[in-house]
Amino acid sequence: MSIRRLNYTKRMKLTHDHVRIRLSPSVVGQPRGFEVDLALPKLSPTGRVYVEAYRTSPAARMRFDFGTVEKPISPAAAALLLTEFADDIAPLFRVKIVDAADQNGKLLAEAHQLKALDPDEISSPKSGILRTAWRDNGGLVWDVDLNDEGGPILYIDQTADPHRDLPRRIEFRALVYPEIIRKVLTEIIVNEPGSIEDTERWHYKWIRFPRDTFGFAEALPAPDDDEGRIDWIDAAVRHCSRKADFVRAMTPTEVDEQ
Amino acid sequence: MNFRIFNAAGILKFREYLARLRTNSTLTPPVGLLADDELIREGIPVSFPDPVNTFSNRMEFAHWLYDLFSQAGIEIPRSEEGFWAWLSLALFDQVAPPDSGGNRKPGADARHIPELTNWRRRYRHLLANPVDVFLLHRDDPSRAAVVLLNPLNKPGELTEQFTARFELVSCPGTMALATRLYIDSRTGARRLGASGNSARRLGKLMNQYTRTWDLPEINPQTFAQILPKEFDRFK
Repeated sequence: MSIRRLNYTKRMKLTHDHVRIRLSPSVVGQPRGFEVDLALPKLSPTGRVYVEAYRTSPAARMRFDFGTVEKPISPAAAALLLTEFADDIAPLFRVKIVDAADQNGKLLAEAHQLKALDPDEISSPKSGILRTAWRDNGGLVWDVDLNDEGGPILYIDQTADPHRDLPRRIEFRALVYPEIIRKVLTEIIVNEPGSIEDTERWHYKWIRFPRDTFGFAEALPAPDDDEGRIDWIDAAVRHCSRKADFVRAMTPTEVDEQ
Repeated sequence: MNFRIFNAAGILKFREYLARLRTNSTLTPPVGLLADDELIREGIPVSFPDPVNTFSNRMEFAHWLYDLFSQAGIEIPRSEEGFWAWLSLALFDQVAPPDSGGNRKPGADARHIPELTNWRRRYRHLLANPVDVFLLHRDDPSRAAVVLLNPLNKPGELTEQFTARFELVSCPGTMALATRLYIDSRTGARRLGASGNSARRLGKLMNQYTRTWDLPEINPQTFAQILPKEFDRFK
């Protein structure tokens, strides 16, 4: 059943067609920066435009002024450093257009829980869906946190990967990413089936990830078909792995075998 | 002694003590764990003061920790469960003080060993939470006084109403309003009736307002004017 939302505030929802955010690559010891492409609707020429970066754990929040709808400003790169997010967990973003004329301070349009395109993580065509961070994993090379409000986070052990290049290595991706997809889809379908149709939550993008990114066409079985749903997850994971060509990427070449 | 980070075994030992304390409330804190190399993952090159200060409230503690780490040029390891567990044991007399009979009530484990990756529970940690709030408002911590003025071991319901909701506790406008409403600017103390129903109601109202208004920069005086009549006694 899809969830119908009532919009009593008449606030417009901004989409990826209006806002694109990209993070700079992570560099040890330096805060990351970001860039924003805005193609905003002409709601109110004088409406103020703000971009906010935020994260619930550890808590941090920054706000950036992007001028008005009519006269947007592009802050210099040095002014768009995420200095409050010193560790590796990328923030989420929120974009607001705020009335500065009739009802000063009223939200005219908003997008929240935006994930920036991140060169360090798995990408879907429109936005990254798996954030990556490094920490002490207590003996595990990798682990996935499924409890964060903003969506799954892949944690890689900082000792195992001091140069932070594991996510770029095909062997790592081939061995780890299918299991991450399986874990996340299982979490959604088995533990939070009600979240599937909620377009405001991360679950919505993940459940569509096999189809949107790899063309997996099989429909999700009905909620009462538990076995069918588990089979669907398995088929989706195999399909994604095949399309990503992980087996061929891992196959030793003649040079390797000599 | 420097600040340290417990490894998994250190956290487990501390958790076991908390469990035993619930059945024997006079058990002495196992402070020997703090310097047991077998239980330490790493040390932090920041000296832990001896004797340590007694903090009259959450603000004082957060300020103290922030100053110590800032002066050393080191980030507080906020994402380290073992750091907060170690610090909780080091400050156990302040987060679970004994009464006159020597009895301690530690409360839930989450008050001492944080669940850092679970945002719904992280706020319960008695030390990580005031530091989170302080850092969110470090340009003007007094704006968040409403949730930083209680003692470390008794954050109180009003604090919980705000700190459990990231959107509210991270917003300069809502925190400035809550502090203006509930803290007496002359005495610096909480006003009578500032918790219970009023706090719960304000928390819910703020949640609604964040969907309609851009609150981070709103003037608390202006903001107070749009509140319903039930808040007139605090304005």
